[in-house]
Amino acid sequence: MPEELLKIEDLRTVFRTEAGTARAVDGVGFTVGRGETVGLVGESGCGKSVTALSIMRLVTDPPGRIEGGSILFEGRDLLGLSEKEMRKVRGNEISIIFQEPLSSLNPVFTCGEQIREAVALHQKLGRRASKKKAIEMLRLVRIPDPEKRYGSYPHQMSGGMRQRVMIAMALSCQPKLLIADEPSTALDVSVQAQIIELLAELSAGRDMAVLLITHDLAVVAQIANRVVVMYAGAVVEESPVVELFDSPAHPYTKGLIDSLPRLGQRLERLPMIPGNVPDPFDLPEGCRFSDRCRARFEKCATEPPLFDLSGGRLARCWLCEGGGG
Amino acid sequence: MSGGSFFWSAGWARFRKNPRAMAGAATILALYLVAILAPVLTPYDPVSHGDLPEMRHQPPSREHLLGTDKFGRDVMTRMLYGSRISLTVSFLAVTISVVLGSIVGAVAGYTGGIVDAVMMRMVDALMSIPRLFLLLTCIALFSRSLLLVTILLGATGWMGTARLVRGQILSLKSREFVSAAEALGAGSGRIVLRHLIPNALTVIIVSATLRIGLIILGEAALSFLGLGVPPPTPSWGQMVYEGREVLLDAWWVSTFPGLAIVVTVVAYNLLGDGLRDSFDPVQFT
Amino acid sequence: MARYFAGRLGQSILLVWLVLTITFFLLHLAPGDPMARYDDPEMDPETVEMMRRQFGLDRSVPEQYARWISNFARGNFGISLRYNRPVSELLARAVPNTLRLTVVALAVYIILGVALGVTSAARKNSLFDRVGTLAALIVYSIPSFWLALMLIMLFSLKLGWLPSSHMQSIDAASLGALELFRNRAAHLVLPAFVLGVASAAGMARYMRGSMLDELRCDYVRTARAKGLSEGAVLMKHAFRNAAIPIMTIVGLSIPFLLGGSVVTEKIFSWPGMGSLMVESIFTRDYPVVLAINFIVSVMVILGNLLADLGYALLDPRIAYSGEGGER
Repeated sequence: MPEELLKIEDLRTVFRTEAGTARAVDGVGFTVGRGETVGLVGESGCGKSVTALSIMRLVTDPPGRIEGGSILFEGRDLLGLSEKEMRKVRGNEISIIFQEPLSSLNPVFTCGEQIREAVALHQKLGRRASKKKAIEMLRLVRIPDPEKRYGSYPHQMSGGMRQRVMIAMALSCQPKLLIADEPSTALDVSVQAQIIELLAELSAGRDMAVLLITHDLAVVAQIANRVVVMYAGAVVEESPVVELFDSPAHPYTKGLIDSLPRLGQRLERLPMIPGNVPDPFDLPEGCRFSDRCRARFEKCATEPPLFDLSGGRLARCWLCEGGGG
Repeated sequence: MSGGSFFWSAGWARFRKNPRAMAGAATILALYLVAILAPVLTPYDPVSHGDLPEMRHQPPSREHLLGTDKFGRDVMTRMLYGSRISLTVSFLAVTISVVLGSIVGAVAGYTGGIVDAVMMRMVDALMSIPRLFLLLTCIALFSRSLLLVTILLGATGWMGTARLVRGQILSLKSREFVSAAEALGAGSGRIVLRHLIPNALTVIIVSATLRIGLIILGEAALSFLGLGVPPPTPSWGQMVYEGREVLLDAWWVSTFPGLAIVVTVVAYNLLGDGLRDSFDPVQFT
Repeated sequence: MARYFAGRLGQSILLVWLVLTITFFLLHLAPGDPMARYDDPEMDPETVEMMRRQFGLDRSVPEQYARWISNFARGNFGISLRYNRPVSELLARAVPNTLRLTVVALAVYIILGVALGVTSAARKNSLFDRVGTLAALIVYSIPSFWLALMLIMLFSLKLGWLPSSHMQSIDAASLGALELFRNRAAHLVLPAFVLGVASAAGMARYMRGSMLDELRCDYVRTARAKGLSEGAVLMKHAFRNAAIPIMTIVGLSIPFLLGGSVVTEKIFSWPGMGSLMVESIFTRDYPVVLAINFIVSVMVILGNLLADLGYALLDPRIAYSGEGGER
């Protein structure tokens, strides 16, 4: 396993609203090694995006609030940094790209300007030098005719091009970690694969770790080294990617993998996991997945810990007690 | 209509929890009480002169809480009676403008096509003449009276309502229950009266409440310019005007009636904001 | 872009024509001879006769209408009954004075409104925000004439800091250029503040809401994720977007400013259109009243047109909509 870059421990992020307190991220912990690509997967609402925003400390407060835990980045706890120190991390050492590139770009500034701004801020470059660097970044993400596209506004580009701009912006200061929050979900199917390939290629070329957040296991299978599976605000399984697909340990992961369409499979209805994600305002006692789980038994009434299954595999299920699978 | 009573009770629950809105409503209630009870609340007469010259411009005292004016009249008494003018004129004028605006907006929105286009261009044109200029022009062209001022304040202020109601009608028109009513053979007039107007009611009430404040300010401005209610009938705007010459020697003559205007308009605006937030949280924001 | 603007220009001309038509019908609202209604003892028969000729009331209604439109369109507003001079001559003196006042008031209004609104939004729910929001509501509810009197009482009569009326001192002719400028600026302070502050309160409310809407947008999160300071996020990213709809609000507030100028000019003895209007109403100088009405409407329509143009220039999504980007 590579040297540790990011280590999250017992992260807890809540949202306080009139309806009560939602425990969106409830004791999450995992690590990302240098240059490693980790997939963070789960259904929508499982807390994976909130985890990403918590790492960047961009959870909107109020109503959101990071209540506890630690986020060690190269040994420093990001949660202990001042706002000013944190600004030096954002966009510089850790970058993030979001799902919806159109709304994530400012409509009244040119794409080039929005990249240039980040470069000028962190690399202390003048206007001309930072513009040159921004054009270089546009070329790197394979936007044709970058000098001309520098002056284009977001609405003048296609969805795929906009996401390339977001990637160019995120990579412009050579971050050590890139968080990609559903980077291809909002795009046309035809360009989804291109964006993922581009991410894989760029991360490999510059020794950059990627935390890829997605609900799509197929994307994870394509580029991730390791996978962290989240359910209802908690990590339920962690595993190297090959082992995860070969022999998922947690019933939830099994369900996710079974619902993937497969080559050679006859076109019948894909098996779905029955039931709904639990309400974050009112999490169930015991195992959070128990009411949707086919393998449920008495022990599931108490919450299971993460069991170490050796080989870098962890699973939060009583079935894995004692290292079995 | 089903769900209607829930809508109102939920809105009322929100309204009650809004301290500003409740303060506005209470103030307006109090003002109406004052207007009605004016003769009971003060021993003085609002119009007849006091003993001159010794009673002229008396500062606030135990007998005359807010002092006296240049005719020796009790300022507080005139303010109490003056509330009648402000409240009546603004209420009647806003009613006129709501009725006119609703009719124009409903007809334009419901008919659509060329009628709508022509009516709305007229509304645009009327709205490009600043309100006060339109008022003054009408006052210049016709003879002056309290009734005329009221009618004109109403007749020059309906354009905003017309636009609002038309917008409501257009959005409601596409909904199912109108076509159901049409299928049942209800005439256009009945559709407008029975279905569309009640649905647009919230919007109308909120905008009317917010506009009452502007009408009170308009009436006060006219009176201040000497073009509103003819003296000696007490009106707040005119009282401010009368004190303008003696600001240093008798500051109370202008100051208190002005404060009365501010309090009334603030109360109406608080009430309007409160109604909007309680009954229509999305619509106006 | 040019096409859009041409279309808006066409609409504006249509509006001006409609305003003229409305004024014409106001004059002719009652059936029969409109002059009959002005048959009051204050007016001598000769004047009535002069008006009759001036408005062409001896001709057929369609002919009157045609004359009315063409005269106004050419800036021929007739002769003032009171001064017995062309109305256009009176306006030529009054309009620049009103413009001087309203333009400065517009600046007060925008600067004050935007500054307060942005600060409130940036510190949402802080003490500043709560007090400011309530203060804006109160200021919005103050009658301008009363505010003017209170300010005159304080700053002119009690403290003696600022002049209370007119555009310049009586002895202004003897002053040097710099002194004259200072003198005139001092005379502008109170009227411009009174005229601008009520609208500024409305602007502050609107600006606050607009900024809060923008601050909820995804691109603000991106800007923060870049590592920008909160100030840059607010003033560069959110403000640029929030400022676009403000253009429309400024355009819409022009009628309020012009309407407010009537009262403000009257109180501060400012020799502009508002003062002329009030005076003309008391003296029943109808040609002047109708001409001012027309001029003011043209200003409003022009203001809206400029606001729309500004909107289009500020928002790249409109300016480039004709060219069409890569889809």
